[in-house]
Amino acid sequence: MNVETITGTHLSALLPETVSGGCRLEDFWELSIEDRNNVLEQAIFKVHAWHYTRNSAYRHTLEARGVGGTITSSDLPLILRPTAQTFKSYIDILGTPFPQDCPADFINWLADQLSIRLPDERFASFRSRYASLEDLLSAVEDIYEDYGLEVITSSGTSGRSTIMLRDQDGIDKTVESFYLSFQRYLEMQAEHRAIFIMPRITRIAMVRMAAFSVGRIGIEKNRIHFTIPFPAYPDQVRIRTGRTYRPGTKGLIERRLLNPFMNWAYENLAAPRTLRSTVEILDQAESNKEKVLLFGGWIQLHNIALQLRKDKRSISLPPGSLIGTGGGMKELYPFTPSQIRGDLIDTFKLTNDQAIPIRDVYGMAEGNWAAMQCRKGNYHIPPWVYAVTLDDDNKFQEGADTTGLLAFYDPYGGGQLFPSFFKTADRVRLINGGISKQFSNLCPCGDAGSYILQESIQRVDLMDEAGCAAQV
Amino acid sequence: MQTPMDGFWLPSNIGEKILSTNTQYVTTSFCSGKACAPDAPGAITARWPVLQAGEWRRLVSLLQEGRQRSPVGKDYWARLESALGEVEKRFKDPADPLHYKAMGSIPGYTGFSKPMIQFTLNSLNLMTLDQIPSAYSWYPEHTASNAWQSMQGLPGRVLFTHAGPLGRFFNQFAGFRAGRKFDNLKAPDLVTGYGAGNVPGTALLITMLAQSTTMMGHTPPAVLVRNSRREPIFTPLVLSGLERIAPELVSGIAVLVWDYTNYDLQKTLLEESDLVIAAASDETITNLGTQISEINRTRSRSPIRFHKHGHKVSFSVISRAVTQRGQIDEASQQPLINVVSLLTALDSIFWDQYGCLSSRIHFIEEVKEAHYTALDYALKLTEQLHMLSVYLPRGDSPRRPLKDSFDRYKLLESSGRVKVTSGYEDDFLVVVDSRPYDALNFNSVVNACMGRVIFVRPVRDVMEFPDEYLRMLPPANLQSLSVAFGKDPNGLSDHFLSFSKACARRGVTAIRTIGRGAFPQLAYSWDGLLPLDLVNDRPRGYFTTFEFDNPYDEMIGTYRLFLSQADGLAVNES
Repeated sequence: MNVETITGTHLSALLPETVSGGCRLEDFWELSIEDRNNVLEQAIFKVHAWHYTRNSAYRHTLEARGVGGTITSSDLPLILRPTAQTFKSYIDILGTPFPQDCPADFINWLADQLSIRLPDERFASFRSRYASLEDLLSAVEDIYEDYGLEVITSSGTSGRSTIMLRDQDGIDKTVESFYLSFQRYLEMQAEHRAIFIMPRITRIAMVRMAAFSVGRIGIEKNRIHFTIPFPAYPDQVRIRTGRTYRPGTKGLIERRLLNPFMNWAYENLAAPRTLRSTVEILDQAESNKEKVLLFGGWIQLHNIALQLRKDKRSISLPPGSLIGTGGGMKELYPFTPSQIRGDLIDTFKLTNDQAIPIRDVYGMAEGNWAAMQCRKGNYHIPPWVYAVTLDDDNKFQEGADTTGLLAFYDPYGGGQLFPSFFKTADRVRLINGGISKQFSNLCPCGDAGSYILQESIQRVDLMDEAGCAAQV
Repeated sequence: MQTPMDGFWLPSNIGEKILSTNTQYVTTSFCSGKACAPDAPGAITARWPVLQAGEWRRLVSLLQEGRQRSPVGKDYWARLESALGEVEKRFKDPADPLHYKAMGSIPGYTGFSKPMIQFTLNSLNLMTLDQIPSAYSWYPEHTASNAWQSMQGLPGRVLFTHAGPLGRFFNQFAGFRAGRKFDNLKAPDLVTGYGAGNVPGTALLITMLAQSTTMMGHTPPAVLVRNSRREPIFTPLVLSGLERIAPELVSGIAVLVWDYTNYDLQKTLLEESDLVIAAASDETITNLGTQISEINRTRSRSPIRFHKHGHKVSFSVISRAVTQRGQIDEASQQPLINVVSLLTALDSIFWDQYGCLSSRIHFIEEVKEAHYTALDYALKLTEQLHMLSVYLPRGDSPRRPLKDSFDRYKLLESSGRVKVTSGYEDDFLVVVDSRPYDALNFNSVVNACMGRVIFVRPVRDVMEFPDEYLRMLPPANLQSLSVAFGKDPNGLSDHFLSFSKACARRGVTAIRTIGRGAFPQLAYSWDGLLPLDLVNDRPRGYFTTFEFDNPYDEMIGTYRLFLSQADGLAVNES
């Protein structure tokens, strides 16, 4: 489907050129920081104007704030939408976190979120109910197959998933964003063997993008592994984590039967198989002296380390190998990331006796990018993303070293479906953010640009408890 | 760095004996309600002494000696009223050092606006201390289990709700003799209190309640209150003012700070106590309860009585009787809807809605014909909140949650069941919400209502409030209800009595008229506990009181009182 014919001029045609008559993402590394920020600001204005006329939800939110289609620098804080809310608003609007019960309303909500028109004559193709969220999301992709749309979600561990769409353009840009960062900060090459402790089939945004992007680096398909044997459908994640159940009898069955069964199955079937499969591939890589990227969540990686320790052994890999972590700690676990890191260093060695690098990846479903940890431990925000921190009143914080809620604008990598201008729920210490006038404090790794200081990322409670006033 | 304020208080003669030049102090600095470095611009620093184990024991002993110098009973209370009146005058006088100290520190430390703090300091008289003697002069009869009972010498009524399944049986049958409501009269010798710091004055409230037990005719107890780091300045200032006038009134009182996690110290202090009053988080209360239970297991004397004041929510209900178009308050000639909306606005905005007493949702009985609708009321409320933003402005608490809530509910306008009547840049949010609620949605809305976020909920009948809404909330979290009801020749209509009984049975423990939500009276129920409960045992359950004999007159009287208190507070005329 030719999006241009629907929306008029393709968004990318409007964006300022970066270097040599083009606007490729990697061009941003060639720009000075000042030039980069100027180009990005102009791009933000154009992307805002483009989406404002086309995206109903975006326009409605901004109109309520008194913002029109043409903006200046002082309006930038006002065009940010909260990640915690924007693509979860279907829950408030539908009155349920189970959109599979009201597909028509859900599709209407979804259509509002997009800057392209979803033909409403196809709405009748949807059933009146779907048995699962996965069935509904698959139906969206099928019915709009010619649009090349992909539905992605957040991890869903709260039971209330963020649901968003990407088109091919957005997917390509995200994959490119991830692979450029993998290459630059994690120094990944085509000769790596990539082991993802993840399911191959998942809608979780970060997982999909991490996995797709290593293909772009040139790693062959038979050297990319997904070691969780079962798919991670949204309802399965929701029931297993046990924080949100369906109402009524269905919910009773989920709580009393399915949750315990799924957790048993995970502990006794999936986790051991994952562990075995991962260790087998690692053993194979070790014996073939192959460089490895091992990527997973903290707890999954820790299980590997604990198993190796129990077996009184370690894995020895060539230099260039590394462990990648992502997703934060989504559940209570008796060990801290720092302790897990120590256990991994004990059980994974490099053949040159150096400690294996362990690099974290910070990202979110709403972002078409991820900030990867460099060898000095700082998280580098891609240079095509304009990042700032906000104070408690949602105003930009001035200065080259600021601590506040991270907000970002991604005009080049954001795609055509919605403007990628968001404020997160994470408090960070940001160096050389978009608004800074001086650009000292370069990262010791030598990379210029914005970065988040290591160990400064904190999830902020959305509502502070205040004395005797209850949160029921 | 500014000289630290005392975040503690000891009677002077005790301070001389306990504190020395070698005493170590802990300091904490706040600016605009947030912890900061002591040299940060605008930082206000409070300090309190670190006492050793022996010093704590000596302090308790000295407090017991000090209390013997206090007057007793009505004599004590009359002198306290008089002295507090003098202290209030000092707080009001800009030339007085007490005013200067308070206004120069409390707003900056807490983050509440200066007008809010000044209004509170000017309104100490809203706490009606002269009701306390009556609170100790009668006992509720057993019939208070079944129907509202008059309170001898006090306006209002009291109802008792038994706890537990057997209690529900007791509650239903009229005339059932539950036995004497109170027995085992024992005035405490030492009261230990824990005061939350989200709003100023909790430590003072606990102190005064503890002292009120002298109305039983005994020497006032020694009182040791743990101050909150979040607001440690106000209570010491009041006590220092009282000491200057009448030191014998405060000779057995100490306000200090110690760590909850210092279990050994806490055990030492609790073992000495007869009564513990904790206004704190549910988690702290649970931990204290565990410690108290352990002590009571092996205690040879009477067990420690533990009064818990944990996390609570409060609401407002407006009946159709006050929303008829054309109704006028005769004295002021203001449309009654203006009176109502000003008072309900005050119930929500005091302490920026961060207190348990702050009304979160305004339920309005909506009748289409000849009455203001919920939307009309919300628009009036919005006007009043705009006006109050000037006279009682919001403090420094973050605006982000307010703006995020604005975005969230503005998006819901597309459903046709939600309307936001305030603007993005307003320091408050008003939402009219007619969506169907289940327990999850309702809880979510209740939780969103802090920081001047007010929901207006239309109901067909006021009885929906207890029957459909309160039943969705944990009874232990319910607290105050502020009400607007119409005139009745009997003062209290049967309709009002049925409604308030239904609310009480759901867990509401205090009913006041609109405008008085933030000003509880000591003589009445505080989370189900009467002053008499400080000195008595009784069956498990809770009391509910309402503090008036005529809700309409009380409402109008409150309106006039606020106009007189709030100099220059202009009323919105339409």
